Amino acid sequence: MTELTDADLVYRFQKGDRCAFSALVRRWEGFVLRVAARVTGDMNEAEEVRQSVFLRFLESPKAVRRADRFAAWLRRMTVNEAITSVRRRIRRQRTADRLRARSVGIETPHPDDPLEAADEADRLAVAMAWLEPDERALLSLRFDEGLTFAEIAAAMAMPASTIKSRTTRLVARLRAMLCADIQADDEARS
Amino acid sequence: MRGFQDRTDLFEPPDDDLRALFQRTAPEVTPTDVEALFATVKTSRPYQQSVPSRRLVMTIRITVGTMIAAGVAAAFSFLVPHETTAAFEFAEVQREVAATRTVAFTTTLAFDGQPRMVMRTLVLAPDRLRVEAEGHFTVIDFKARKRMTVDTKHRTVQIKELLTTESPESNLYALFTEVARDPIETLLERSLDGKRALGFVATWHGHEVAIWVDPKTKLPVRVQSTREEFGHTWRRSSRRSPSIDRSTTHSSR
Repeated sequence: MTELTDADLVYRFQKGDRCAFSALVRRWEGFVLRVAARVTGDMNEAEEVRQSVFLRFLESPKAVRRADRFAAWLRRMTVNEAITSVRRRIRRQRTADRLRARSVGIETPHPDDPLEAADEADRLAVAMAWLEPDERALLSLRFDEGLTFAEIAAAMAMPASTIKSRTTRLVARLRAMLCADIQADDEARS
Repeated sequence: MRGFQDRTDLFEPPDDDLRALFQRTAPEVTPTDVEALFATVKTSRPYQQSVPSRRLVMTIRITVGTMIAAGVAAAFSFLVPHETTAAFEFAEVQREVAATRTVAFTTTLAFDGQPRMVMRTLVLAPDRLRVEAEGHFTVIDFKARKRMTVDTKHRTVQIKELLTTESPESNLYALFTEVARDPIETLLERSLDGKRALGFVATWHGHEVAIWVDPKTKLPVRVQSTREEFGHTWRRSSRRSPSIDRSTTHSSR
């Protein structure tokens, strides 16, 4: 089964082979979870996104019109689902904030608080939190998954040239935020 | 997935550290609960059902629904009479007029296109008519064959016998009782004062009269006639008024 390509597995699954679906999940679950985790910044939410992406494929196998483009379809689905999840959560939070008393603060890590950014994973997460969900998705596809600009462009429905220029700007911003955090961390320790 | 080094657009050397940072901090991948996915689909709908088939089912539903709605609408259109000119006869208008105790009209009389006189007419069925114009009003009793003219300016009253040559246009009431003897033409529906009106054309005493009727009440809303005499055109347009001052109608004697 592991010898089969994505296209073979998709074709088999579309014919009703459940094992083919399981194999595709095993092959792509890491990608979906990593990207979703970077975009959402929350592992539980990322798992929900992953569940949702695979569930959609399970419910509608024919949604993948071209089996040889399964990877592109899955990447796009992952990015869209993760961004939608973040936006949904932000809407919920805004509603909750409005309902809550003003005196109650939001207990989420903030880049201004260096103590919250204890290690490099947290520092990266905090820096990423400053970015928009689609910007996080772009960086994740680039640096987590090592995709080319063309592949990222296909996943995000944007021209490759736009992706390239956005990546350059985002990398600069990310570096600036990471450096600022390290300096703040050092000052706090000293 | 292809190897990272195989890519055509390799990372710039300065970005290698970011790539390494992302990989070091990547979340640990926990296995997906595939059985839970299958169970979820089983409880909702069978996963074998493909998108096109569901699309087809939806299309069929919409089509059937549209056909049923169209059928119901068609059935209603047959059952409910249309409010078109052909849907009711002019005789119905005449009956409605005859059954109406009071009908008020405002009539504009134009001579060669220039407005000359504005009269307000109140029909008091079955046989009385009151016409009010600037400076005077006239009450006509067809049963008694008398007319009373009150000059409000000079404060004089005249009571006269009705002449047999009395201008028929002054008697809108008579129009509706006499016009049926002449052939009726129908006009296309039009909007008058923002309301639908159905039109009839009658030849009355040698000239044409257009009668516009409210399809709801079947009462005339406007009566228009044009008359040419000695090279001049008299145009009379009467429109039904919602109300008229009836305080002076009691003064007829």
